Amino acid sequence: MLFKGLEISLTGMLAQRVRMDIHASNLANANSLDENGNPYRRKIPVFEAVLEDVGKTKAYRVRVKKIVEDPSPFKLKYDPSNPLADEKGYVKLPNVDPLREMVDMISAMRTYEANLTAFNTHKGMILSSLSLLKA
Amino acid sequence: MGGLFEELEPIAKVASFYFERSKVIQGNIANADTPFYKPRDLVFEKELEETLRLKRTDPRHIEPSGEGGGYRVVELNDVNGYDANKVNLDKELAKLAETALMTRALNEVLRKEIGKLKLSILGR
Repeated sequence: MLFKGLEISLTGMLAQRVRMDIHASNLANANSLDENGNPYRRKIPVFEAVLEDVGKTKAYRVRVKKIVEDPSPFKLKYDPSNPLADEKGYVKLPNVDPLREMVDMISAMRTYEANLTAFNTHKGMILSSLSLLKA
Repeated sequence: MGGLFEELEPIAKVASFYFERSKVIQGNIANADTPFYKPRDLVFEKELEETLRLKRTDPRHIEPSGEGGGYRVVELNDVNGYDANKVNLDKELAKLAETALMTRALNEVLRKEIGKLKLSILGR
């Protein structure tokens, strides 16, 4: 029970790390096709709060529930010379907006840092209590 | 606890309250991006307040003890978030800093009290 607080903050850091990975992968695939030749669909992580029984108190840790695909329409680019273009001359591109991915990555980084701060603060509290042994 | 250590008991109880509160706040921070998550906080129950205020001078007095150790978790509904998640990260970090400072202060008080006991036991 003593270290449950640290575990909760760790799940927060882990979730933000997953989020960072997904946004990085979206960004990397901003111009990719998948194995079927369709444009890459942007992925979004969905988080879920899980009740953590910490004895007397109920606190919530977080976990990545699932990773969903963004259903928004693909971007269209007019490029008639492209062999993948349709009859009107438009090529479908992934629905990834690099700017948005960057913003989400910064947000993930900040929340990661907040969880790290919480982790260190709680560690300080535990150490402060343990130092009573030296009293 | 009692007798020699009864001075320590209420302080230790409040210290453990802040320790538990820290976990709840950490849960809020961990869920800062969870859809529809409502932040929670830990509040004093009457029992804990009474433990602090009242002294048991007679063994027939009812000992204030309830499940949860005198505190309970509440959902914060009045917080205004800008999306489906209501966690305000700065607020939670500020509350966490508060719990950490309180824990340290109470531990300092405990240390002083233990020091006094030590003094009376060892006599120097």
